Amino acid sequence: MNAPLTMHSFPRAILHIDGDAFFASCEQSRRPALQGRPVVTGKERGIAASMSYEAKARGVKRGMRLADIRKRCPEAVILPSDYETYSLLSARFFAIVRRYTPDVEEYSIDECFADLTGLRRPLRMSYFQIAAQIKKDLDAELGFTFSVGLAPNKVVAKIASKWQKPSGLTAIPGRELHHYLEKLPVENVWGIGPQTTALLHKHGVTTALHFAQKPEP
Amino acid sequence: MPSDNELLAITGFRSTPAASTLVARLVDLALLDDDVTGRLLSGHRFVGLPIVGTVAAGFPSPADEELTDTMSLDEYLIANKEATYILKVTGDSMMDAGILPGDLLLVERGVHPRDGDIVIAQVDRAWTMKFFRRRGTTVFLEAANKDYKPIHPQEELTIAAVVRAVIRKYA
Repeated sequence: MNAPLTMHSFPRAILHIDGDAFFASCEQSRRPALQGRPVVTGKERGIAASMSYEAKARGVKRGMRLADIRKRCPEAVILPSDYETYSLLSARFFAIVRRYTPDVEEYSIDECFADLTGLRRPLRMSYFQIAAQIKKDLDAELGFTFSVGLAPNKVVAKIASKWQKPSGLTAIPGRELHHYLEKLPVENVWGIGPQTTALLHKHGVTTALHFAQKPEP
Repeated sequence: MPSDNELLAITGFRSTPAASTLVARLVDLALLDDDVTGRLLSGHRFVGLPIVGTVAAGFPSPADEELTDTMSLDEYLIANKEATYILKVTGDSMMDAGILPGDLLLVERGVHPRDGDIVIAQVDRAWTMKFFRRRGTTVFLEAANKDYKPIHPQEELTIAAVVRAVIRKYA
């Protein structure tokens, strides 16, 4: 069974924007000499709070102890968290998105949702073009990349922004939604944690599409 | 901003290329800007900043009394708040352009440099501030100090930001 779940592509157009490796990226943006090098923040806590993609490529994971990081990746630049800088750049991030729509939900320091519904005519761009333009402004003006997902609702927008990372721009229109959900394990859906996953697996539900096709109880 | 057809109606030109040439000039002057899709947007010089007054280097003029308008330094110096950053100058390579060690720079990210702009650039993995020069298809960096030679990038040149203002405080 592989029929579309809905025939409308964007009954609403919701954007989810996520800063790639936000804290580490802020450090690289502020100190260009750090660009291209493995950067880890969280020195004051003794564990990795955020790591650049260069550090991720060398196997550094969130929560890893600094002693282990130094062993695994001796060239890593380990910095204390500088929340003042991160929140300044975060405020600029949201201000740039608000140039396009006033309807922005600041979800955390490094991610937000933006409702673009109805903006095609005033901006004279398609939803995808608006999303691309916002991403272009963010990447250029903040000096590091963002991953953007465009979808008919918040849950799918989050799936879209994670689809390609870092620096992704993925649109999941309603009429193509089933192709994406088919490939997505149900535990990767926002709000489905280990308990719900275990319950769903008991009922033979493994993909997000399978879950979406289940009738309401 | 107007479409091609609307431009023809406004300007009275009969051909689209004529209108395109006009638009290209306005883009060069930063009065207009075109986005990725080729649509026209207002450029950063489209809205002019009011001139508050002039100062004669002599006795104060009674006309100063009439200048009741105020101005904000942020508004005067910064075009795009979100893209503007402050850097502190080290080194003397831009001395003859009036930029001295210890000065503060307001730099703007995410803009394309024009010939003659002062830029913050990464050239062959090192960071520097220099004049951006474009000669035909080649670009190079030039210092404002005769002790430094022009830099012709061997591998790659990344322009991180364009310098918009220099601030010096006489404490």
